[in-house]
Amino acid sequence: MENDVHIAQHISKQFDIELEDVRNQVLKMGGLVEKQVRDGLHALLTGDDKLAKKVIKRDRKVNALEVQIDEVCTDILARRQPAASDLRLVISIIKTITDLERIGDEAEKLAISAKKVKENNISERQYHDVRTLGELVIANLKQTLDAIARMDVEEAIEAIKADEAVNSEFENLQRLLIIKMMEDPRVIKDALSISWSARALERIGDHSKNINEYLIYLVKGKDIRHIDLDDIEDTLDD
Amino acid sequence: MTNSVDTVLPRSEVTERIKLGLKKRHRSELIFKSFGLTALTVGFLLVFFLLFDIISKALPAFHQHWVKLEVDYSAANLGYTDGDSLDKLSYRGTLRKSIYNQFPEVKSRKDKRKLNGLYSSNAEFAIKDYLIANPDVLNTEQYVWVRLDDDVDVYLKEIESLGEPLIRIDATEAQWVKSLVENDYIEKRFNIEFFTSSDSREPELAGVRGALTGTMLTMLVTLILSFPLGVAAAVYLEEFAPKNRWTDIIEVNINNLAAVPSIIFGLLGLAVIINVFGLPRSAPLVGGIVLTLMTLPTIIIASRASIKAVPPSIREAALGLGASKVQTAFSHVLPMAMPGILTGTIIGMAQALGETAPLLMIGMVAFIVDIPASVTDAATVMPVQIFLWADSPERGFLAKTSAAIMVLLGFLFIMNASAAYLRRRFESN
Amino acid sequence: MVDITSADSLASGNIVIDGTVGECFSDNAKMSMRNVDVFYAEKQAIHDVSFDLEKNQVTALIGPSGCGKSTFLRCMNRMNDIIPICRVTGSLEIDGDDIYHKKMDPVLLRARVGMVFQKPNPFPKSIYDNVAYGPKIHGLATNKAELDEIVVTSLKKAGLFNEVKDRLDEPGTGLSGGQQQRLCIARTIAVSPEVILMDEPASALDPIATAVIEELIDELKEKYTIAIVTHSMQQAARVSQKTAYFHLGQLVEMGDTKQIFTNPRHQLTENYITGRFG
Repeated sequence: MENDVHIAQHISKQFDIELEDVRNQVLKMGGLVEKQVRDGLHALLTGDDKLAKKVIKRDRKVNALEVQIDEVCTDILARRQPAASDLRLVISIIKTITDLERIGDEAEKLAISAKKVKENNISERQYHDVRTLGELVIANLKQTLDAIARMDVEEAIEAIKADEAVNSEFENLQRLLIIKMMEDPRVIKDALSISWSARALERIGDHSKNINEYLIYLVKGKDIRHIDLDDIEDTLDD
Repeated sequence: MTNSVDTVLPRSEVTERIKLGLKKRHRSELIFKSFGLTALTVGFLLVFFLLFDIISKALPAFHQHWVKLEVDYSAANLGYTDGDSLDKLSYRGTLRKSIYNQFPEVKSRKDKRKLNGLYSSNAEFAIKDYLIANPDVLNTEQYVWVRLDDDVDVYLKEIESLGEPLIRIDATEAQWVKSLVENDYIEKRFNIEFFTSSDSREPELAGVRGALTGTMLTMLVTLILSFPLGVAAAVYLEEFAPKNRWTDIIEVNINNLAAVPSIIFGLLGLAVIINVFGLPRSAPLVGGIVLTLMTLPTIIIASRASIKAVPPSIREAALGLGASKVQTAFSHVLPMAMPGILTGTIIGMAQALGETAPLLMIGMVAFIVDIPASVTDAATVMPVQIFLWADSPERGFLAKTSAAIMVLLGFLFIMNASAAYLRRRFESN
Repeated sequence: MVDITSADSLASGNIVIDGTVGECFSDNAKMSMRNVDVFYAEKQAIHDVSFDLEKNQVTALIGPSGCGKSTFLRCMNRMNDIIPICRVTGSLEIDGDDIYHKKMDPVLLRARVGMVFQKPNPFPKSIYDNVAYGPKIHGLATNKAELDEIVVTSLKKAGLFNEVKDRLDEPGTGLSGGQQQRLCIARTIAVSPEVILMDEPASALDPIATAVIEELIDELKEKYTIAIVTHSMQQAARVSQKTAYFHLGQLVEMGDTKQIFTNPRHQLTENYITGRFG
C-alpha cells in the first residue's frame, strides 16, 4: 500500500499549523545553508574577503535556527505524542537540522580558508580543481533540498547516487595534490590548505547524503542508513 | 466557533431578558412549594385527628370496674360433701347469697333480679375459679372481685369522664351502685382481659385474643404462600422467561389481577377451595389462600420493578465469572432487589391485613368463641371482629370497637417496623 | 442490557477494505478467530474478521467508536449470548476447541475466558466474598483454608492485597475506582482463567490508577493471554505487543505494536493513529 505522507488534515487544525510551520522553518534553514555554501565557495575561488566575513558572521543565524527548530520539535513531541508518519516527520526534522548545521559549519570553514587565500596570496589556478568539486557538491545539495521540499523519494535516491561522483572527484583531487606535493615539497603548505577545503566540501556531500536518507525513512518508513546503494532500491521495494 | 449567543443578541440584552422572567419563575416555585407544604400539613392534621378520635374513644375499653363480693365458701352454701369434685358445686346459689347479703333491704323478686343484673354474668364462674385455685378457702369467707355488668361499667365510666351519664339506668340501680362506690366496693382495673379473652356476647367479657390469633395465623399463611411464590414468579418472568407474546399476555394479566375487587377472590375461595377441595370453612388456611391470591399481583409487580432496577453490570460481572443464570439471579440480583421486594410485600400484606369482604365470603363472619389452635380451626380476623362489634347495639362495644382498631393499627405498625428493619439490613449489606 | 444503538451507527454492508493487512496469525495462538461475522438482527456489525490471539501476549483492539471492537471482544467469551438478537457465524476457537459448539458449556468457557469491564462492577458484598465468589461456584476450593489462599493469592497478583489486607470484610463498593477495578481483576484471576478479556479497563480511572492497571497488565501477561479493547492509542502503544485496528466492523490491519505505531501499512490505520479522523 502506498504510504503517502500528509502533513495536513489532522482533526486538530492547530497541529496542522504547527507541523507546517516547522517544516517551513527547515526549508528556510536549508535555503540559508545553501546560500552559505555558494558564497563560501565563491569567496574561496575569488579571494573575496568581504564575502568571506559575511559568511562567517551569518553562521550564527544558522545555529540559531537549529536551536529554535529543535525546541519546536521537542514541544511537539511532548504535547502531541505524534505517531506513525507524524513521528517520523519530527524525528527526521531533528536529524536533518543537525546535518544542515554541520553543512553550515563546513561552509564557514570554506570562508575561513578564503581569508587565508587573500592573506597568503595563493594562486587562483590552484583552487581551480576545487571549483569542480565545489560545483558538484552545490548541485548535490540543491538536489537534496529540492527532494526534501517535495518529499520526493526518487529525487533523494538520485541525490544519494550523485554523492558517488562527489566522492570520486574528491579522491581524484587528493591524488592530484599528493602528486604535486611529491613533485615539489615547497607547495606542501598550500596543498594542505587546498586539501583542507576539499575535505570540507566532501563532508558537505556526506551530510547531504544523510539528509536524503532521513527523507527516505520519513516517506517510506524504512531505515536505509548503512545500506549499500545497490541494495537500497531492493529494500525499498519490499 | 464564535459565541453564538453574542451573534444573536448582545450580552446586556440577554441578561435583561433573563431578569424579566426570573420573578415569575421564582414565584411559581414558591407556589408549588407552599402547595406541597399545605398538603403535608393537612395530611398530618387529618392523621392526627383520626388517631386522636380513635384513641379517645378506645381509652375506656382499657379499664374496667370490678366489684368486691363477700363470699361465704361454706360447704352448706356450696352443697359440698367430702369427696365431691369442686367442679359442679352450687356456685350460683353462693353468688346470689353473697349479693343479697350485701343488700339485705332488697326483697322483691323483681328487685333481686335487677340486683343480680348489676354483676357480670360470669361472676359465678369467677367465684368457682377462685375456689379451684385456692381449695383451702373452703368453709371460709373470702373477698372475691368480680366484674360489673357492662351497662354499669359504662355508667360509671361516663360519670367519670363526662360527669353526666348518657346511658339509661334505673334509679334504684343507680342508688345501689352509688352505695357500692361510697363503701369502696368498686375498683377500677386495667383491662388485661381485653387481650387475653376471646369474643363474647357480653361486652365486659369480650376480648380480641381470638380475632388477633386468627389474624396472625391468616397473615402467616398468606406470607408463607405469597412471598416465595411472588418473588419466584418475578425472578422467572424477569430473568428467565423469553420475551415473546406469551409473557406479554402474562404480564398484562398480572397487572389486571391487582385491580380485581377483593370480594371476587372470596367467591373463588368459597366455590373452589371450600366446595371443590373441601377445606374447612372459616379456617385461616382458606383465608390465607384467598388473601394470597389477592396479594400475589402486588408482590410480583413490585418485585419485577425492583429486579429491573438492578444494574445490568452486576449480572454481567457474575455471568463473566462463569455463574449460571440461576446463580446470578439468586446470589446477586435478588439480594440487591430485596429492599424493593420487601416494600412491595409490606404493601401487599398491609392490604391483606385489612381485608374483610373476601373473608366474609368464606365464612369468617361467625361468632367464634374458642381461640383457634391451628390453621384449620375455625377463626375470625380482626377486621371482621371490628365489623361485628361495630354492628352491636350494646354501648359497651363502642369503646371496644375503637380499642380493637387500635390493636389492628398496632399490629400494622409492628409489621411495617420489622419490614423497615429488614430493608435496612439488606441495604447496608 | 447492552446498548446496541452503537450498532445503528455502523454502516451496514459498507466494505472499505479488500482484506486485512499485516500479520494476523501466529503459530503460538491461544485463541483463533476465522471469518467471524456478527449480526444484530439485520444489521451486520462485524465483517469477516480473522486473526489469532497469541499466547501470553497482550493484544490491543483499537479503532474509532462503533467500529465493533467491544462487540467482537464479547463474542470471545460468549457474553453476546445474553442478547437475543445477536447472531455469530464463523469460527472462534480456544486451544482448538470451537467455543460456539453445542457441547461447549458457556459457564465453563467463561471460567476459562474471564472478562473485566469498563466500569468497575464489584458485587455489593465484602472484598473477600467478591474474590471468593468465582472459586466457590466452580468448586475450586474444598475447604475454607484453600479458599482463603486463593483469595489472598488473587489479591496479591492484582496488586491489591497490601491495601486491603486489614479490611477484607468491608464492602467492595467502598474502595476507590482504581482499587475497585483491581478488585474486579482479582476476582477474574481467582478462577484461574487462561485468557483475560478487558473492555476499556482504565477508561473510568484517573491517570495514576490507569498507570497502576497498565503495570498490572504487563505483569499478568506472564501467566495469561490478554486481549484489551481501548480508546486510548497511547495506552495500546504502552501496554500491548500486538495491535489490531478495527474500522466499521472490519479488521483493517494487525501487527506488532511497534510497527503499527511507527509505520502502519494501511492508510486508514495511519489516519486513525495520527488523529486525522475518529
